[in-house]
Amino acid sequence: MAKGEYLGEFEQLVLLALLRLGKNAYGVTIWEEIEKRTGRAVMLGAVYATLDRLEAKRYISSKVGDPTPERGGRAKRFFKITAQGLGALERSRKILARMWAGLDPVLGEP
Amino acid sequence: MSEESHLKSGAQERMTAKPPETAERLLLSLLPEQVRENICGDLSEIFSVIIVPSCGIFRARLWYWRQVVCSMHLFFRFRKNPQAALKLWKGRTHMHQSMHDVVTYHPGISMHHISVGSGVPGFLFVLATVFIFGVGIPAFLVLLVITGTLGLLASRVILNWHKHHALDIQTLDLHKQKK
Repeated sequence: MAKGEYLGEFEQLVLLALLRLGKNAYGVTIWEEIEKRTGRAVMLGAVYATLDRLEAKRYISSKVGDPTPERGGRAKRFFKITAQGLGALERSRKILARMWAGLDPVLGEP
Repeated sequence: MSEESHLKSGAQERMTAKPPETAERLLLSLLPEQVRENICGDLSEIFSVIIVPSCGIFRARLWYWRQVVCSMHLFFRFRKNPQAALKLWKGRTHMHQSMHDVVTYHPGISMHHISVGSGVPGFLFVLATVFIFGVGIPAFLVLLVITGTLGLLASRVILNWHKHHALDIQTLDLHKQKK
């Protein structure tokens, strides 16, 4: 696996949020999902920088939606995970699973 | 004012609360065109729908400012993204809103080009002044030296600012990446 293909922790979080949200994945819902599930304060800028990077790697695609009044008439951008993105996520999961395998006794888990 | 009406006016104030204007303007000036609407819209939505009802207007405004200030370095990444630059270079997106966009997204255009570009109209302005007001040669030379010095100083300041913020992506050699 080339260095550029490896997903960082936040990239994985963003991709997983996209998977969970399905068709309703845009900046606000992604930000909310990550904050809610990880319990950490997230910058919207960090979410967008990651989305930008993932789109450059072709792991996600985006399309512009309709503007709404609560957004000051500004349009939403909806994101969708691509087949390449799913593959990358699966590879990352396998790598982490291999690294975690057999560590339960060390960590004191049952 | 009764307690009920006080609560009602408070709720109404929260409903109509808008993000801090200066912070929003700063954000609009920092962001490149392709993400400007989405990020500003998302921040406005989070501000009015999530943060104001849960924390109140004052803390929501602080939250907004924090989002803008702490994410500033991240917003600059959009400018340095070579893929975005290539996309713009290919003409899929255009209508640059600021000098930054021009310098960042167009390989081959540097702040030097912009300085020269703005220096030429300056020189023409001096020439026009000479003809219109009939200024003599010594006054013309003094005017030219002052204008030139001010222009050089201004371009120096802008260029240093750009270098400091690593905004100029000419070094990425986008032509190579195309191949």
